[in-house]
Amino acid sequence: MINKIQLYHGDGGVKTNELIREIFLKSYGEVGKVSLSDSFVFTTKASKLAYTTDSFVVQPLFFRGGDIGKLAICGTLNDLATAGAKPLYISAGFIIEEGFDIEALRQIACSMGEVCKRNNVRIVTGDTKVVEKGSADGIFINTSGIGVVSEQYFPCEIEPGDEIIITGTIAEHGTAILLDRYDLAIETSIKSDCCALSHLISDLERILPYIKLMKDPTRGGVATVLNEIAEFAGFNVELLENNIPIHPQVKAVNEILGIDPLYLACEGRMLLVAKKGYGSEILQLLQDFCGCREAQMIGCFTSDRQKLVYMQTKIGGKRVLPSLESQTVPRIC
Amino acid sequence: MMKMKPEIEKTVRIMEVCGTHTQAIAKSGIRYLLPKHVKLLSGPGCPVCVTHESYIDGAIDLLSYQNVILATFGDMLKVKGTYASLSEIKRKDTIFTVYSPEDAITLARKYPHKTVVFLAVGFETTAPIIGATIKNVFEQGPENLLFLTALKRMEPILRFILENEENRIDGLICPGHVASVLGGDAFRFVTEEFNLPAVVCGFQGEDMKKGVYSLLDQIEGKQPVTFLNLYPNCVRNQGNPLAKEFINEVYETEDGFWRGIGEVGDSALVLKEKYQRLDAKKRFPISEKITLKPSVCQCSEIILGRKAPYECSQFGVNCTPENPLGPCMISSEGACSAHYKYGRVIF
Amino acid sequence: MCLAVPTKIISVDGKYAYVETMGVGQKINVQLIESPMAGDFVLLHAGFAIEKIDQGEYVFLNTILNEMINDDENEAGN
Repeated sequence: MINKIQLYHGDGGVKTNELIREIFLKSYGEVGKVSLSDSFVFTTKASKLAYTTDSFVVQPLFFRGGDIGKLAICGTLNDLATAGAKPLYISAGFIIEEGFDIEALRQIACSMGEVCKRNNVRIVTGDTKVVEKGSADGIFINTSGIGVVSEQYFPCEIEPGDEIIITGTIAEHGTAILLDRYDLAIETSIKSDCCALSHLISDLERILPYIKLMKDPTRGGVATVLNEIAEFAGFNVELLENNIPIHPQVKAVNEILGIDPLYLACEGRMLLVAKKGYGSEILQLLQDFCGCREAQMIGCFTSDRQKLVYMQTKIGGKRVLPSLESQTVPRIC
Repeated sequence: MMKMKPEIEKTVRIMEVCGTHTQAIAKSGIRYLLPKHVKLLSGPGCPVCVTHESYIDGAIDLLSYQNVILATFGDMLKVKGTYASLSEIKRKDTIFTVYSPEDAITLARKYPHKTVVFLAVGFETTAPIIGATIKNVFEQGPENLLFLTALKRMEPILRFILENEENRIDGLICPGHVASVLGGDAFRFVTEEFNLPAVVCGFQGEDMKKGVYSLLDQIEGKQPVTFLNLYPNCVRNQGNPLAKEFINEVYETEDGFWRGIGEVGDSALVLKEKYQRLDAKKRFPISEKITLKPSVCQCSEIILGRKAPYECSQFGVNCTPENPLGPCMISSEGACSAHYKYGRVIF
Repeated sequence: MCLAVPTKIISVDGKYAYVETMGVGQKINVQLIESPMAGDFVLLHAGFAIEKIDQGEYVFLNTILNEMINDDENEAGN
């Protein structure tokens, strides 16, 4: 097999099948022949299913703590988790630029297989297209997922006093990407927090009825996603700066680059809205039994209806946090 | 002669002229902690925000030459020229965001067959580090690295603001990191010539609170009007002599154009003749049409607090955070940007 | 105007120094600093040290340090 992707790898013929068999199926841990059918057929007894899709175009493709493949599977599993769903099956579509390194593709596929294995989910259908050099930036991946929604989870209306929890330290994925994208010669042990959160649905099952909403703070970070939640809820969000968990090195890198970590993506964290009075119990459970030792209660909803997110600062001031407006880049000013 | 100002009840207007102070004020939420009659104004202290449209146009012109690529600080990307911003015209591998001017050297070595132009913007904090880079490149190469300068001086713009009596500033928070380089003494003229309370202060919430309260004490006559350096561990009276040497070695002054404000005498730092072979403007003919027609942008009055953002005819119409015209909208915490985002939110 | 953070010099090598800012390491240019030494605190702006921090004046550093310690306590204590 030659070591670069050629246009013929996407033409649906012998070479496409060879690629699927040698790279994808092997990496996913699937055995057997390439299926003749274009659809995967399955039955389920579940009464409520969740279905989601997402596309991944991250640069760089390989970053500290993960790669685009790991991100694609984790992202889809986490989107299912926000609906209270445990994953069943995943689809994976690839758009690959001609000339892409086949070994890199194998590595990406292996990362995908690994996350799936660990979370007991299968990639059951997929697609591969190759586009001419210059028409894509290396590789784009689309994943869809289908999962069974827990009968204990019924998102309901948010009220003043409801409590907001984050399951871990913030901004690690965004910071890792910045360090690698701008090739910054900064030595840190920071890694992307990219990981699947499907386990939360079973781990928190007992207390799911008291969780009103779950959302993963990816693009735009905690501040932007909380704005979306405030808009949806119809109430203000008040955060406490002192409670927001952040790794000291992440804080340092953001200080050096002049970037606000509240606007950087997490890829392995969940924001939970707990019914008023249940926050502490959920937090305890997260810290003691879900491996989320850095989880924190970071704020609550107030009765004001401006749908704003604001923060009590360390010195006791108040700061409004609007949604992210423009790309986060290293600043001098 | 220091004269005591009488006790005042009316609005007290304190100006800060440093983008990082602007950010620190917003991030620490300090406005919420101050008495209601204290108004904090953000002056023209962000070097990126005051970069003139014609400079961005010139940078865009450079890209039309074969084999030219740009290296820039990230915050320059969204600043509009007459027609477009750098991020709007960006193609893959034509504009590189760098953290340090030294990264431009790395970039030039990585692309030996291209000419790399570093967009050199900043006040006197950044001028010496770019100056050191220019001197290093002048002496040791690489030969394919040039500089397009829009470096600015703090003193002329402060004089420009203070000389206009209409502006009625009651106190000034001096730019801390310009003071680290130039020295606290570089800002004594504010108190000595204009009889205005002035402090140099740090950037933590508590430091700024201290700075504002010490200005208030002077404004309200509880303390005599004096120049105070509340950031002495990072600001010597004489500043950093070595850094100042680099400024004097590499640059001379020239009249400069400020976005939304206009021409300010002697306010620009440009390359001395000796270093002009590294000046992108000398190497490539680029358009530097300064639009002399009166700007529709009313930022200069808004910066100075003479007008409210909504009194500008462009506010929210042609000028929004996504498509900013003037410095007050470009700076994420500028008066217009903040007003656009938060409206009349008052806690 | 300009973003700068306090950082500590760990070692000096000619025009350059290796510094540490809250556990994060970096090589920076120290050309603008007169006789930089390991153990010095400097203000870091865009990859360059722009001024030495006077260690005799602990006020500023203490503010920063206290803030860091508070953060650490919050992180460790919860």
